[in-house]
Amino acid sequence: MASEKKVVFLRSSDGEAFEVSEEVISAASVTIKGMIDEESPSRADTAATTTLAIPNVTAATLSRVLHYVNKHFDAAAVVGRPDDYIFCAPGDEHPLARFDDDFVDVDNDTLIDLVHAAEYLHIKKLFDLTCKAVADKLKGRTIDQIRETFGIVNDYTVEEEVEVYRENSWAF
Amino acid sequence: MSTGGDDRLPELSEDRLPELSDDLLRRILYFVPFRKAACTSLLSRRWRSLWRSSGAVNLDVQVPHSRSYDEDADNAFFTKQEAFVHAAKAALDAVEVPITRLTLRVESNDHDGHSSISRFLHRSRNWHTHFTKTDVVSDLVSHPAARHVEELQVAAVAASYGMLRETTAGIYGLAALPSSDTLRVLDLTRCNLTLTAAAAALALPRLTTLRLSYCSVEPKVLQPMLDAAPELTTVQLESLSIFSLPPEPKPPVLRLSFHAVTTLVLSLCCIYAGVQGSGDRRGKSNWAIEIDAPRLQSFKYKGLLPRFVLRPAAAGGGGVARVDLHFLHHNDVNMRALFWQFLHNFTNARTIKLKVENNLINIAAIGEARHALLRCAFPSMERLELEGAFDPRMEEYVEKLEGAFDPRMEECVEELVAVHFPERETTAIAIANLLDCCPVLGEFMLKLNAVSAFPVRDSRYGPELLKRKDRSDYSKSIDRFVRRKKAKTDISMEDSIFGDDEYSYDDVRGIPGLSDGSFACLQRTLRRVGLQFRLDTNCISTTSSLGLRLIKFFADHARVLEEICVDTGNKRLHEHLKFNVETQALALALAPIPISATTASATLDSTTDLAKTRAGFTVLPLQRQESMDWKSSSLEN
Repeated sequence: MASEKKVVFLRSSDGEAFEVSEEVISAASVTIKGMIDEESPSRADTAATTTLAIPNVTAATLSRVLHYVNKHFDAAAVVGRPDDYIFCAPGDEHPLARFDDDFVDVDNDTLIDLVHAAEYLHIKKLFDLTCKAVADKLKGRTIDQIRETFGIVNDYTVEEEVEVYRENSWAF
Repeated sequence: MSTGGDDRLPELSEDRLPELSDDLLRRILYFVPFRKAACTSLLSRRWRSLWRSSGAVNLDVQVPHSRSYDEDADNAFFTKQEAFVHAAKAALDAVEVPITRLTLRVESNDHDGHSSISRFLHRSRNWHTHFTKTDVVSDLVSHPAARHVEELQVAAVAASYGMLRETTAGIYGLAALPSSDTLRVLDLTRCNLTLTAAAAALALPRLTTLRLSYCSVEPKVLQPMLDAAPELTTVQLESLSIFSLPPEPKPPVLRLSFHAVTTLVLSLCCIYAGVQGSGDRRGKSNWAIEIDAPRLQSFKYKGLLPRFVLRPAAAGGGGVARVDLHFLHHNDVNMRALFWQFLHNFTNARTIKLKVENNLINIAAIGEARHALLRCAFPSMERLELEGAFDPRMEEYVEKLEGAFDPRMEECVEELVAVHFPERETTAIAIANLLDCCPVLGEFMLKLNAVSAFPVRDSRYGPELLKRKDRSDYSKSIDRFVRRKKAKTDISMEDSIFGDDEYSYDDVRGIPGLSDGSFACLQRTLRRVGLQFRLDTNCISTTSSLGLRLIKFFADHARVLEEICVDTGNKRLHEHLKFNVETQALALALAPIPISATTASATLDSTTDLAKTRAGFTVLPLQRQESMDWKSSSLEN
């Protein structure tokens, strides 16, 4: 029954703890599922709730990630059943499409933090979503703009640059 | 997280992209279109060949305007075509690791996108003089670099399809599939699969997902493809034009079997009995679908209501657990029977989402139909979501039959009486029918869209617009779902807040058709109820009243109810006069619900930011007070 929902606490790199349903986070994150599975023999069924350290993710990022996870993986949520993604016909607007768009509509730093967190926590859907969002940021920009936006330093010599240009001339 | 490949981090940079590992950058480039991906090689030394090992090539092209009578434009057209093919081949030649993903997207903004795209893909410069044909899609897809592709996506997308519209769906053929032994995901839009006879003979041992949209298919091509893929678990068939059905029987029957498929989407497919024909692309109603899918778990259907048979019949333990049905609006005298026949295939479902564009009274089963319906029980259905249209004025009318006559209705009365009076069907009966079938229902979501059966107003309000609006309103408001949990101790407070009531609890009348039924789920299992009303401003008061009565009904009759969510759908509703009335009555309606919550009650404030509302909320297990206690007290009130 709903009343016996297990929860775990996730402690961010800066020490803040977040509560999340064990079932939900296990469905979302391969990494945390692994941690919980490792943990479980050592804790009796009646033991207090588990706290897992997530050393690579800050509180700000972790709270965003959990917001996403609760939206996408909480089967008890009003909308957005876990398998709705595949269940949605291509032409239909997915009920969470708007949420996803808003979710990655953030500044570059936040987005990159999310990419890292999704990779570390092994949340495939979030990882693809955030990588796509970065890819979209590349799409609309010229090379100079990309360098500027993401702080990439051009370390080519002029000769090299001409050579690179020539070998990819079809793309320009 | 420190990973390899960071040794060439530019100094002094405070920005974040450079700190990503090469693997992450490759993953990002995996989603970048081919030209832009190649351009990133100019960014810095580190980026020089990253794109070549991203594992994906995403080809995309905007088809230029095509005017065959204009020689210059013609020249430009083919110059662009040749440049694209050249660039695409160069990109495929340049990859350093075998790609796992190949996408090709051909877009056109032309007024006749179908023929522009067709011309771009199939003709070459010498067409007029030598009739030289080409096949851009097959050339690219069969490139050696794509030999080990796992995901293949080909889409032709046009803003407009000209005169032909959607009746002939497929634009390009696919002579053969690349890498049939590695392919996992095949996603084709506007492919003419009737030309893909060769593919049918192939084995597709690893294919798990097949998505076809706006494709032309024939069962004799599609079925062998399905048979060739033993691992195929997810199939989405959307807006297909299905040709060449066997001439017998009549009306035509589409028979498909899916051996291992667990998730099937069948959306807006159109069947043509002959090779060519004209028809409603939503699918004619006088055809039948027979699906053989022994492992099916999730099924989604959108379209008109056909005769539908799912095999094997859902007897025993298995059967489809998740069902999502969306029936488009259509007029068919058999609608009621077809509807219940359709549902009968899913008697083992645990969740059903049901959207009926027709007025819900069209599915209400009465008399003979009701007996048939009783055989159609859903013994394991836990969650039901029902969305449908209702006409508040009609509801109001039926309600008022015994009482005073509403002068506003005068004009419509005769028509109404003729159509609906004799049976007194109402939305409530349709709801009652469904509740009746679901003895263990735990969660019931009801969305009612008020529509007018009287085409006096809102005729400009096209269904398209309505649909869009519905969708956006819905996703906006769903987060604003108000969860009302009232502690008994709150009642006095509520009273003082709302002051004089326009309605008192007992003024809210029962609902014929619902109140006189006894439903097993109400007694034991129904814990959550969601009610959502899409209001038409013209009939807000009557909607409210049906809304109120439904709230009252569930509050009174659902014995183990823990939560009612009420969403009035309209963002601006709090500005609305009637909202207060609804709030008051809602509070009153919920007051006797035997819920003791230790949390503070949430306020019914529709302006509250959704994030805040969500964050501040945890749904706690609620304890039920002695049922006799409140029951008697509410009776006394």
